[in-house]
Amino acid sequence: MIVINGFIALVGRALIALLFILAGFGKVGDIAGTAAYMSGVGLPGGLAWPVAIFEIVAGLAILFGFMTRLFALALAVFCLLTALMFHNDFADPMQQANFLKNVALAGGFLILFAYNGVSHSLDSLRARRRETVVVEREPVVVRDETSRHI
Amino acid sequence: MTSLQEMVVLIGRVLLAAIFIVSGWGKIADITTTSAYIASSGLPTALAWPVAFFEVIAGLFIAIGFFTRWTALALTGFCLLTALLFHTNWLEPMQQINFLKNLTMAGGFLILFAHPESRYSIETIWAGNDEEEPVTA
Repeated sequence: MIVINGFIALVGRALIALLFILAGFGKVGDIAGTAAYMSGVGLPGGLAWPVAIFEIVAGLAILFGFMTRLFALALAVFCLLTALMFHNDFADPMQQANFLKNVALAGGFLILFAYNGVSHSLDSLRARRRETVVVEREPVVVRDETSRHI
Repeated sequence: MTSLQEMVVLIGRVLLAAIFIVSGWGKIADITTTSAYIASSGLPTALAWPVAFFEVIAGLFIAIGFFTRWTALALTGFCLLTALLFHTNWLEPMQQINFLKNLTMAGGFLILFAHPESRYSIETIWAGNDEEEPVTA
């Protein structure tokens, strides 16, 4: 069951990541439009490149499970910030829906952030490798000490 | 998990649930517009009431942590279905974004489905987590 859960969580991570990878590449493809969109809400247009790259990198990190907790927290904050800055015109029902969707996305990232670790990820692979290294080293240390006693 | 992490899970669940409680309530308050919107994608208008109730109840269940696992799975399916039924006109950028955001919410619910355990939830409180705590302490 744990294996299935890990796999389902991987599918979940892939679905979550898709939006950011595609939106990030979309921003890179139309950087002038992105800058104009950002200055429309009073932000500096110079943020266009950093935001586009952040979206792609963070999306890929969530997909592969690399520093999952760090990127999940960063994306939770990102979703809440973009909700407050770009979707705060509640007179427009579409804006309200997008505000609430961003809040929901932030909720998903907070749940991902809360777990100590996700399986089927680069994080879990690295952790496993670290464990095997520790296991390999220990006998060497023990042998050293016994030889010294003799 | 530490109690801080458990608190973060609770906040995450409330944020995920908010859209369904708010928009479900909005559908109930304006059921004729909801019916028209549902009809516009070729679905029977009779779905308006069931969908509105489903959204409110499922949202509340996720927020308080009641049948979390199966409610999360139901909402995963709901997000994917609504994406495919209402947000497929990708020539409009807003539709494309909404399609992707629905997929992202589905992803969040799948993660919740995979890890539904939470200290601050009705199911855990009813199961009597007080008895379990000394073991973990």
